[in-house]
Amino acid sequence: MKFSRKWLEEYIDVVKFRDKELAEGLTKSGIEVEAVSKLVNSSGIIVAMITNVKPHPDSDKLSICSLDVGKSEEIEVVCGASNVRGYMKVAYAPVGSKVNGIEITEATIRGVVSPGMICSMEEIGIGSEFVQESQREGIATLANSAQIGTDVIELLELDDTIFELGLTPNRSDCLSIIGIAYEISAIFDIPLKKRTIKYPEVENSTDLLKLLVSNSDVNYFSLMPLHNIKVIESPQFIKSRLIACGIRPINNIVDITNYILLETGQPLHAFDLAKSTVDFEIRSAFNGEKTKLLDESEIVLDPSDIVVANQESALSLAGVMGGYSSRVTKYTENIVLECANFNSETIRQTAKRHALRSDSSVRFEKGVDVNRTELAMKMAVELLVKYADAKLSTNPVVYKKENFKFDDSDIVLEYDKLVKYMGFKIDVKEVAKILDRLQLKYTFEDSKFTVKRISRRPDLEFDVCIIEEIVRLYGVDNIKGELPIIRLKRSHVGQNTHNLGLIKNLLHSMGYSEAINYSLTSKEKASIGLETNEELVKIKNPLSSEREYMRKSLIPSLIDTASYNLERQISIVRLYEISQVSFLIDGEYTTHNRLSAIISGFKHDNPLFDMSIQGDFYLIKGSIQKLLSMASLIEGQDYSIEQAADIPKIFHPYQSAEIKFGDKVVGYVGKIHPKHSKHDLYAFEIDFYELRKIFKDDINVEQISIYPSVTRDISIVVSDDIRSIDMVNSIRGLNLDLLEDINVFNVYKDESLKGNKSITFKMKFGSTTKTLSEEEISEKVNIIIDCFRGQYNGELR
Amino acid sequence: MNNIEMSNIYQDFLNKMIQIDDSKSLFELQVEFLGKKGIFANFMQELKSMSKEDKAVYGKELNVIKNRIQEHINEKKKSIEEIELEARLEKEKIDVTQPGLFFTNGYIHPLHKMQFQICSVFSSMGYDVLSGPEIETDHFNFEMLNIPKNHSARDMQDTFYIDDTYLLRTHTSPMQIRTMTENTEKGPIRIVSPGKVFRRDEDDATHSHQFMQIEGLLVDEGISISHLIGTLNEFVKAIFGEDREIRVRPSYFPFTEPSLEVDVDCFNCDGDGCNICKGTGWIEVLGAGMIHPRVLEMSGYDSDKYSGFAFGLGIERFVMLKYKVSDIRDFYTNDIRFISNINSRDGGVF
Repeated sequence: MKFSRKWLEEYIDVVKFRDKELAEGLTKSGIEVEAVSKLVNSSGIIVAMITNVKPHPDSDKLSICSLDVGKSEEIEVVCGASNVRGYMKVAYAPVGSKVNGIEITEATIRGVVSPGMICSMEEIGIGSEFVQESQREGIATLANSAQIGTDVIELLELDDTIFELGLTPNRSDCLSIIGIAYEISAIFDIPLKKRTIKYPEVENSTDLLKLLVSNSDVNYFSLMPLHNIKVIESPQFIKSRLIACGIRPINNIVDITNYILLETGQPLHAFDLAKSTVDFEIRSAFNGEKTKLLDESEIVLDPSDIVVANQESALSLAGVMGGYSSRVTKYTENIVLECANFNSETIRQTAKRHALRSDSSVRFEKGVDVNRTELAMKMAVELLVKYADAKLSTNPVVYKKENFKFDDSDIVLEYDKLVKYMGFKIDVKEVAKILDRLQLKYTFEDSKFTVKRISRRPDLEFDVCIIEEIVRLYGVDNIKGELPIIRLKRSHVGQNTHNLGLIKNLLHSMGYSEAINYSLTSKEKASIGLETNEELVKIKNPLSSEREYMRKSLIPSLIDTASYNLERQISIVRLYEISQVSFLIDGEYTTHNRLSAIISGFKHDNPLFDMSIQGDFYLIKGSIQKLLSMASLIEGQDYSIEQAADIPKIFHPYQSAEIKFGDKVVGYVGKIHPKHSKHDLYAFEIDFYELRKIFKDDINVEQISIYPSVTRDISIVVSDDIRSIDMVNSIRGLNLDLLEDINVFNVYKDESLKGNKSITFKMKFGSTTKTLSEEEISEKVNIIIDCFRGQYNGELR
Repeated sequence: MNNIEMSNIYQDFLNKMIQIDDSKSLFELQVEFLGKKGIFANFMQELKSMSKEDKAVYGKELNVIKNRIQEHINEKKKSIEEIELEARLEKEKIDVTQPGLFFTNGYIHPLHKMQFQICSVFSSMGYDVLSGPEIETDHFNFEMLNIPKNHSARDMQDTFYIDDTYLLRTHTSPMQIRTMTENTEKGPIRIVSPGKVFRRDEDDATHSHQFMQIEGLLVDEGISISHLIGTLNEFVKAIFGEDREIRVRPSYFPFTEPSLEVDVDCFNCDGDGCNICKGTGWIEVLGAGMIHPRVLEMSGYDSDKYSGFAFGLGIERFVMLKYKVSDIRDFYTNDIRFISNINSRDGGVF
């Protein structure tokens, strides 16, 4: 909503407040002023009369105009417009004046000096979309009555300020100048001016028009015929105020209906009587009925739409837009003025259905003061009589739905509740003053305010609404903030965030950075998930097929993210994501939290460790192992990472494994199948819910021996199909005394081994009671070698 | 052996010692004089064959000289070691301007970094941190929050619907309802709830169909607007700095009444006006309000006994303001350089 300061000033005296103060006051009270601007950014332009036009010596298109600017000497300026004529009143911008923010200086145009310029309407500062057809070509033609030397901006009533409001949906009352005046009156505590309407009542009138309302969503409908009107341009103040509020002036009739709409918030419409009827029917549209609207669009109506119709067809789409055939044209002599009230929801649906948002539909949608119809009709008639010579023959014909009345019941506000809400004891007198400023009727008795509801502010429904009014007019900024005094309790962390910091920090320390991807993806990408029996969740109204399904795995988006980075010269990619995935299980929407990570296949010489690191299956597997070790889980005991037959197809069939907690598969790890990525990538995904469930923190710290431990390496050559984990587990199963740990240190293959592989095991021996002797160690090593030989046919290399 | 002989030997030692400047030669000199077969060892042999009186005289003299030599050697040894250490250290000189080596670590996503910071502030004030599902019901997302059927937010145009009942949540506010309805005691509540939300907007520099919010909710007896303002003031100072001030304006949300919009004075220009605050000196950072009595009642709370406040904020906006990020899509591109840059100056990528 935009409003003009000059228009506002008809209702309230705000002279002592500057534009900025008004804007701040409104914003602070909840009516946000988004912008304050001058209607035009030009100044110093004056009325002049062309006394002579002669051709420019060096141009066919330019002319030299002599101007009477009200001084003894005439001025000669160069002008490029084709509509310059002698004795025409024009807008002259002298040197030093401002045209659309630019200061005018003396110019020499093709050898002729021009002290200033003659302006077009656009140069004066009216936006091209608002300039009337007759003024679009060439320079602006001013009224002959305009006095030479007068300020053009003042003459055209353009010396105004526009305030642009960002209204919240509850404040539809401010969709009118009157509503804003009430608001400013309350905020600044200034009384409203008294305004009288000159409305000529018709005595002994006989109804000319017939009105039949057959639709129950019509609350109120009135029609007023007006005769012998003159369709001409509107007076300047109407045009300028419409422009200030963003509406293009058309002719006096249309402009006056728009003017009253802006002033009162009550939409109006004028029909050409000759092209409509005297027999009006307000009904539901017929199924498939077609009509052509004012904007020349043809629409197919829906039975839920309300139309104003004559016997043959729809004349307008009620509450939204007038019809084309019955519109007011320059030939119109008699009009019928409509002023009505409709069910908000019906108008909202109609406007939405036909994608038509008009100044009228916006107001009906948000709610129009049900008691403003008569006022608006009278104000419109007053202006039509004054500026279109309209003659009245009858009083309006009115339909009013049964029981259609504003519910003006009482709201009871307990003073104690107000104090509780505000957090301090506000003075009763202060509250009373605020209610007065709002022009609400109330009484105060037994520590209770009883406030009468008013149709002007339908949003004030119950006690807290009144509290809100008191708060905002008292000034929220005047309320001192205080921290609540509350019983202490420890803060709980939700199950999804439990241990999250620990897990994230570990991943960061291993070089993984965190990604957050979109939950919505394409069908193709959502389908290469990890589950097979769970259905995808589909969006009914997606923006694009790229974002149509919910992810059921994080891996596909991590593949995209990894590729994005690899294609930008980032060769070592380590990323993870912890997010929800969604799917349908047995018709139930289910969301799970998952942890996924991805690495690129890289070879990196790490100067820090004097060794190189290879991005491969074992590196990503190592990340899981490290993570699970932090959860106090032991491989082979609490979890296993094993090859399996039914690994999801997103993985390489021979470089992948399932992650199991006990018997339960909780995730997968492996190389990404080359079908799904041209890059060498390795990833895992693990169910966060399962991980959280199994997360332990129950390590018993073992006594660290004061005696030195001893390590021994042995390399065993075995057949390539022997699994190293089995060999390690066999030795661990022996529970050898003094053997603290055994692990695979290196696996080596070459041709000399003839299809076998050499596995180097690192063994650590120690005792808490003594330093071990060489003999004791050798004895244990020999048992291990014997075990490998016996069970795996392994030979010492 | 006589006195002269002895003083010659001493003189001889001093002459030799003076020329020595390395520990090896010093050791040889020590052996020559004090070693098992050294000069003094010989004297001791000679001493054995002397008369008792001579033995006493010479023996004493001999010990004095021997001790004096030993002292000289010790002293010399000390000074040589110091010089040698000095020389060794000098050889070990390095170029300290050469770059340091570091373990390459990864970084938290900027949105989660901010989320963590915000949740920590409230956590420290005793708020529970909860998360909720991205797939929500129309009932929790709108109905229970007093958002009427005809509200534009419920249009197909603005919300991703799955079917008539389910949708992608458009805000984290349904967590207010979930928490209040699930609280069987209908007693006090203090929570913050971060998470992803969805709006049917085309992605551009300032719009994203997916973004992150944090919801806050406090329900107790006697909670006032003053408490809300006090809490938000505390929060804003924790995130944007102790010098920051907040400005509160009335606003409108269907689920709060009164509703407030909270601005913070611009941390870029200290309120003088710049392009970040669009010249106003204030930046809008969050929406808040007193929980609408209907919302309390619908969730089973007695609105005469309990009151409370709620607030909601967009995490992207906070990060964009604090770190001057201009394009919201950067958060979802996951360029490792972007994630690193917001966390660290080194970039951490090679």
